[in-house]
Amino acid sequence: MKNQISSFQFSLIIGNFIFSGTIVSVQQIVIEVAKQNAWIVILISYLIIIGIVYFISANKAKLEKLRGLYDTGNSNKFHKVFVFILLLFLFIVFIRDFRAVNGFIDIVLLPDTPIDVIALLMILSLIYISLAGIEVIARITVIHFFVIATIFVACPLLLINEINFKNIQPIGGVHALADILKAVYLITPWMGEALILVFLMMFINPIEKIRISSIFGTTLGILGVFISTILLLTVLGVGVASEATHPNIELIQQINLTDFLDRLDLIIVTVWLPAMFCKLALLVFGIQKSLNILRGSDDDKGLLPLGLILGLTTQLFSSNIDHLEFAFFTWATLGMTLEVLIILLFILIKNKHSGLGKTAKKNSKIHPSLE
Amino acid sequence: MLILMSVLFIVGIYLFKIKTFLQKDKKEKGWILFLSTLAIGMGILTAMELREDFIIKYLNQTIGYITKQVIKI
Repeated sequence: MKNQISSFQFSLIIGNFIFSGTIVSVQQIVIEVAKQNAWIVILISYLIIIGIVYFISANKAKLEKLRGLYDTGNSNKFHKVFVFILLLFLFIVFIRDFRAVNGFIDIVLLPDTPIDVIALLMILSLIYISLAGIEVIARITVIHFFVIATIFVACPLLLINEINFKNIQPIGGVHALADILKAVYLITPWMGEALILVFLMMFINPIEKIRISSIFGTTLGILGVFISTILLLTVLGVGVASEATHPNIELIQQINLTDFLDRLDLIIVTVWLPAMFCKLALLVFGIQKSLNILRGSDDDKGLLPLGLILGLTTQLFSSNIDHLEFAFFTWATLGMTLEVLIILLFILIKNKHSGLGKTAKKNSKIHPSLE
Repeated sequence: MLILMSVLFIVGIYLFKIKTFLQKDKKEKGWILFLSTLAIGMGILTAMELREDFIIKYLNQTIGYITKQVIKI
């Protein structure tokens, strides 16, 4: 099977990557800090991330040449440092999100099942998906993200009888600007997960559409988070949304259009879980691929023991409180640092490549559309 | 203990299944055995209820503290 994804699949993978992880619990702290102005936080964060995405996806000819960055035969030490930082980023996002899903299943869906057993069963499914390669991950992501996105777009209609716009008033306030900036600091690293595009870049074909696809995917993901945040504020209000561990579950439990549609929450959760599986499978795939690049071998036989190690990372968190503290506070600074490093190294590598003028011209002859 | 037994069972079956591959490729053999040992090691730690949570606790106390200072919570 070819390791290629289309620009549409690329967009939806990025959208799913941002959306499915962010809606677990992080909106709680954003609403706690920014209060009724939390929806403005998402908009500001969107502008920052779109600026970054627009900047790093510029110059298709250089990006085309950068595909070689991920070759297992690449022995450039500077490139390996970049891949190592990327590996660290993927690994930390994985342990955070994997624990979040396990914690969610443990609390909400299967309270009598030990979390280790849930983790083991889940990682076996993830290994199976990851072994199939990026094309399979992309195809299932398209299906699941499309379904979950449709549901979230329909949510304002389903919750129309519960919406109260008084909950987002007054807009602004005495300390609003400071609170909004603090919340932007907390949420931006989550939105910054759109940087997965620097890893997915090696699979997209044709690469000419990388910029528009990245912007489209990021917009889709953040639009989902925006809809969810504004519904949390208008339906639950600041008081409830800033106290709930899983605010979106509380939100969809408010859907009560008729008796028949009273338990839509379970249906929505069963749609969200596979979307989250897609993100985790992509992370497992990315971790394995990055390790292969670092050790200079392109074999996936080590995926099963590697997956088991990743599955046992739930042991890194002693409790849900530990995980929430990590996701809310530690990830904000750690994620921001890693993302800034990835952006800087990527730009450095990109510009360094531009010095190889002859090769660039040669490549542009091979790909006339890149001129 | 259930986790350790499961990890041992899965790794054992897998290594048995790819044994011909392991005999041919020495470089990959070392890598796969290293990962398998690490997985079993983590399984043993889980079985002995020795949690490796000190890493996250340390990160929360250092990097998490920086964030709390930034947002003054």
